Amino acid sequence: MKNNSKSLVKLENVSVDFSISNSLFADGKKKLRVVDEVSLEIYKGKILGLVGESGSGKTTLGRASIRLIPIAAGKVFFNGIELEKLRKEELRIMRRQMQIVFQDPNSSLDPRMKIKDLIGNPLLVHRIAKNNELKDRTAKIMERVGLSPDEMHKYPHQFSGGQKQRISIARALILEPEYIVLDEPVSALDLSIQAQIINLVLDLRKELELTYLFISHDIGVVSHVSDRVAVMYFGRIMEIGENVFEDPKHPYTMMLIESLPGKKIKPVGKPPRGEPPRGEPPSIFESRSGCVFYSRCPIGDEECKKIVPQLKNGVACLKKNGC
Amino acid sequence: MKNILEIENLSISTKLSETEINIVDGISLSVSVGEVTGLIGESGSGKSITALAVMGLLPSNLKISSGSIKLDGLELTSVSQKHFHNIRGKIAAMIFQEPMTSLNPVIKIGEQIAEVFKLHCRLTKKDAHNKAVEALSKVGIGDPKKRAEQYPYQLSGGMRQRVMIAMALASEPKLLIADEPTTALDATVQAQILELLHSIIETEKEKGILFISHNIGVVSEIADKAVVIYSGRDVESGDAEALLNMPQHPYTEGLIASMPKHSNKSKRLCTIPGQIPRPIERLSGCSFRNRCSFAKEICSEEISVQSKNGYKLRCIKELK
Repeated sequence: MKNNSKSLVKLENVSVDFSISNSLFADGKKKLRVVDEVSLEIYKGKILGLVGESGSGKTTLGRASIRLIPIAAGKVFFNGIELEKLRKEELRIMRRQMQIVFQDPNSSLDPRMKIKDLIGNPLLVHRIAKNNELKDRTAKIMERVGLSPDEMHKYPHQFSGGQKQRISIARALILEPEYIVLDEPVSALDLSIQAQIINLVLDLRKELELTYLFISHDIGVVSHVSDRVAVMYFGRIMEIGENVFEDPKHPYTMMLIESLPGKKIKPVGKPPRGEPPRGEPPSIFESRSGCVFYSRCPIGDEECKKIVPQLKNGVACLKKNGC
Repeated sequence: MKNILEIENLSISTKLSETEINIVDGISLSVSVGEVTGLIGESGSGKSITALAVMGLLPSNLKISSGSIKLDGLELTSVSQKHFHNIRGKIAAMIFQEPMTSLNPVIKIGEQIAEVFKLHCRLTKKDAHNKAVEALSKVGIGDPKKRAEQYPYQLSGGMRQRVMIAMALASEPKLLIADEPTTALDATVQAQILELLHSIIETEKEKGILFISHNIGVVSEIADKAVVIYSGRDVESGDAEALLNMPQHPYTEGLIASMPKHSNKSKRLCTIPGQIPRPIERLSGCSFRNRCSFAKEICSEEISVQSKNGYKLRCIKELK
């Protein structure tokens, strides 16, 4: 796979820090590492699924991959071009190629803007189209995502949750990007609506040859849509590959699959109900040394407490690949 | 088996510019002692409203228009608000989806739980505090003495939900209503909370749980019986394993088929066309008929409930 797939987005040792110096509860200046030396590639026309629990840094990683937030260290390449080195105007033009769809359309769609402006404004901002052409292109993209162009003059509150997410997708698509970050695009939706949006996203990928980073905490959704999956924990990639859920190697991935509800009705991974998972995801305020998963790991030992495992053959675990 | 909760034909209505609209439209369900009943429905289906009615916590613009709610033999629809105050907590207690909004952020955990003991068991401050620490350790919180002195923000999401469960159990209710108790939690923590609820029902056999969730997978993990509601009506109910593995109502079938599965990777998912109707635009007869592929003309008339061996189906399809 690796040999015949061209990478569109490439992250090299990317770290992201959050500064909490001015926060109410902090004493003195402090930096929090939210994403910690992550390297990964997203292949052209493929979907990389990114799973992790809340606070694991998956949203931050997604935003860093399109340079929506500054990175502390490392490099982000898009089509072979390092984003950090681009000048402001160059980056602005590059942005047409990469878009993002957020989780909650209620907070990402301005309630005072009409649908036609919400969807069409990117064309104005990037000076690509105006007047009649703008209207035509907006209508066309609305139709493509399953909205009626007659509803162009309505406001977001007049739409249901699923339709609002279609609006968000239309807004991301109108600039004809190559790469889209889908940040929990279906988490806020009901099951019957979720399936409609997943189908739409998969259809669009095929039709427009898009590349996605699909972020979700839902393993069922991620394993359904993704060509490859990366598992993130506490700012680090624990495991990445094509068969992560069929053949999990990392103890954390195994724990995630084990805790998946509904094995009685859908066979995923191994069915027996074993011990419930230990511990809880750490807070980002905790200091880190060695393997970040150590405190909850069933197979970790003293060595894991000291040495940071590196990603090797798609797994970052001392016990599994002895790096 | 003895039923701790019996809801018969419950309708809850609201007035919208002089017209009565039934938000809940004839739901029947029961919770047996020592069992978990899972209530499955999408947003707006009326599942939380049903729970609030059992707790006597309906907002003032909603009222029970017909039907009956029997809690431990007591008919709740005729109970006054004042009397409800005494029942609430003692017979039935509730835990909610987001513990951070249910806990008071400026009062210590221990004090919040102790309040229940002071109110319901008339204990002294010191005794109540000791009982609170005991309650915390019962729900699996390590170092309960220290935790009792902490504020909600110092606890993780999973631990806060454990505190909510401790608080609900403090007055030893017979019925525990859990309204989406794991929805706000991470997958691994969710598994732990389900395990906790499971162990509660195993050890305290005289209790029953009404477990409300939109997540079919979660319900399949914990429920003995399941009830599926759509647009304010129960469309199917019965043994959870049978219902979830062999759904008979087209809506339940559609819901389960639309769950992403690993086995059909990257294929299109089965979808239910259209959207969930709002109560005001509910259809006559079967409210699902405009999204249903089995729908016939007869579906616009009132559909009677078929029943066999405790399994109920509200559809023209023959109950198997």
